[in-house]
Amino acid sequence: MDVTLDLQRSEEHFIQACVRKEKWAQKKLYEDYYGTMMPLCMRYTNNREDALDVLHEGFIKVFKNVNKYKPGTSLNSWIKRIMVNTSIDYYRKMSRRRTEDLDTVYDASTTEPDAISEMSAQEIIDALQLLTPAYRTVFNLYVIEGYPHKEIASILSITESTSRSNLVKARTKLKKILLAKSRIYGE
Amino acid sequence: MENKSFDDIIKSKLSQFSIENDAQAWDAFQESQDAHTFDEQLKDKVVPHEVDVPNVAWESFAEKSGMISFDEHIREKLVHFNSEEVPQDFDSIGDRNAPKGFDALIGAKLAELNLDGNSDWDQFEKILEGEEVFDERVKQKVEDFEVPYNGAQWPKLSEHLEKIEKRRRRILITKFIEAAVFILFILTIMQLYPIQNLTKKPVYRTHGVAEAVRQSGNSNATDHQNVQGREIDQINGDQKSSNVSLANIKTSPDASVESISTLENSPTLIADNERSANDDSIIKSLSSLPTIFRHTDNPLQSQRSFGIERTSGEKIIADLEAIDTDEPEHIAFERKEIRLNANKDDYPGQQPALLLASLDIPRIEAERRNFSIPFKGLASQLKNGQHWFNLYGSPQINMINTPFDKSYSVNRFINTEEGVIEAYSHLAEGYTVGASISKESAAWEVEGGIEYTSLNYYPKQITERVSNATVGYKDILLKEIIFDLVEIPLNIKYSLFKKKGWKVYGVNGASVGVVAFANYDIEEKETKPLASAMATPNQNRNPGTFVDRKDFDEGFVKSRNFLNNAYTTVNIGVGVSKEISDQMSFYIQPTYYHNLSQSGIGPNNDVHHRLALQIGTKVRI
Repeated sequence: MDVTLDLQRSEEHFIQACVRKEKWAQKKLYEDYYGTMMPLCMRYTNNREDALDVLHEGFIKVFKNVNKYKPGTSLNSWIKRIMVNTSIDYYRKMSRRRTEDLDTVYDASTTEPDAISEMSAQEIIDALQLLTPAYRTVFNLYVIEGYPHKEIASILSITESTSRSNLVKARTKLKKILLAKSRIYGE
Repeated sequence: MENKSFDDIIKSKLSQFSIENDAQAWDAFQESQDAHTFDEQLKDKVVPHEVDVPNVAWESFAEKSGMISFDEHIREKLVHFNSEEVPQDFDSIGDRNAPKGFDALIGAKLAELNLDGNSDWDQFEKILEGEEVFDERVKQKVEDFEVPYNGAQWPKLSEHLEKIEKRRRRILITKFIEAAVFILFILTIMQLYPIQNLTKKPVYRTHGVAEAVRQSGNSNATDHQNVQGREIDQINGDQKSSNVSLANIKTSPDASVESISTLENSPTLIADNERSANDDSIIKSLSSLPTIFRHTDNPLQSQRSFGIERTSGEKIIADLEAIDTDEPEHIAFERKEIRLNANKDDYPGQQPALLLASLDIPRIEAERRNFSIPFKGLASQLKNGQHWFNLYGSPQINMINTPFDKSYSVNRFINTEEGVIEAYSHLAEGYTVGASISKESAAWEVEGGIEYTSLNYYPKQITERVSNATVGYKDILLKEIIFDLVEIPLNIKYSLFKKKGWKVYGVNGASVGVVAFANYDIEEKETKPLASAMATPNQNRNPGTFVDRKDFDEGFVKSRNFLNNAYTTVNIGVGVSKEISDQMSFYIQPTYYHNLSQSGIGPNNDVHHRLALQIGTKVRI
């Protein structure tokens, strides 16, 4: 019990230091969450450089709004939500720049779960980065973050049916990419 | 002649022209006739055709739209649609002779679809499960994935955060200045166009003894009313015991300034309850009095000017400005008399010099104050002074003088042809905000406070190319220098002119400043990879950069090095201030600041002088 209280106090002290914009606290927060948030940003972006931009943009929002964080709740979830929202902003920015991929849906019904099991997370993220922003974002929000299609539609300003459609397309294309990768590595 | 022969030639040619008989022409014509016949036949077939389907509405619409013939053709085709025309492939169900709709045809095709036994729910469920498994595996893989911390990224974010914070501070300060200027503007407008109904006029207090005297041949009756400490609207010589009354000098809220200033020409101001036979003549004479009562203060102020002066050019009897009614004990009084130099002929039986009234006038000699010798009695004057709190901001133009920099050497730079970086000067904008407390007495004001100055500038853009053993060539450029300066000024102001709330003054002072924070925007760019660098060995390579050779002090707050960051300035300027109430005034003050430091500040040892336009407000404390 005492340990819990101490931890809570310690977190409160840490958060207050972040609110006061103390550099050591900001740096510690960055160091602690870099490892988990960077892959999240990589999933939503085209490459590592963009992911770093999104990550930094996200941390700027974290430091700016850290006074709104309620101690006692999950700091990880709070930061993660900010990162996801920043990634969605990135998607919106990208979708204004690029035309959507109008690829037809390939028949990739052949799932090879074993092949995925053998792949590393980095390879899967690399594959995700090959998807178009629209497909990738829907896939991430639905599969990884667990958002329902209704919410995804609302967040991305698309219809629910488009969200479903993009998910199917994303999944199909991702399977195809992963399959191709596994074949390459297999050879 | 020539024309005629040309015409003849043409004529003869045309007369000889003939077309040979074309044997196929008739056939072609006949064919066209046949085609016409075909059309006719078609028309005969179509036009008299009666439509079996009664459709009055359609005919009505077609008639109206003028497309009846076309529509009828279409309808005829549809009515006489024969399922026999449908290809055999489509005719797989039902009665072959029965007409078939589009839906029926599609339905037939779908019914023929062979799913090979996979069209059941199990198959679909399998697909769904497969997707779920796929999603789950991707999620598991990705969700737990962490990348190792990259320490090189934090400095970039930290620098970016600092820039954001600096920008935020600037915006706040700018907004503050804007708000201050706006408030000053509103107060000025209110001053110029006072809202009479909303602003209650104060009731002034003054001190004096008003005497209404009438000297006549019969008596030396004197009415005396001591009204010291009472409201001026009670300084009223209109006493019934007197035959001659001093004017009703009313400055109560209902009385206007004009009622006093027109005293000279307004006999109605003379109370006349008990006129004697001579009163008319006195009133008449009073209207031409060379003495006027002047009320020069502002109704919003609790101070007032109240003076008596002679318009004939004779010496001023008294000129009183700004009686501070809160400190009546500090005011000395002097009795002044108002006499009517009446002509003996006009006022038979009266003494020529008619004493009309006497007033005890508070004695403040404005002339002596305005032209007093500077510094004489400054200390004693300040003892009884008043305190002000000053808040100000100033946009400024800085002259940055950068001396010759020996830390740069020849052949190290890729963008300087001269090789040696000579001393140079350039202009940069900046701003200052500050707060101070001052003590003012008579013509002097001593001020001390604290100022913050933001100074950003771009030094001469010198890109230095150096080599690095691991990566190759690297270009380094000091793009921008950002200083946050804190100064402690001490100023003395001397009033040159003061009238009606306006004041013109000179200011002179000195200040000690320190670079509180310093930021440098240094751009580094790798221009050539190592392999390429190795391939060009002739290029000058130096292990260090100017970043290594120069002193990039981060400011006193971080480095704690005062001497490295300190500088002193002296300043001189003039200002104009305007009192908008007894508690507040605003001012504008162009000032030149000259930096006395020889060593300068920052990595380039810059010495900056500045011209600032200080705009501020003063509040009495």
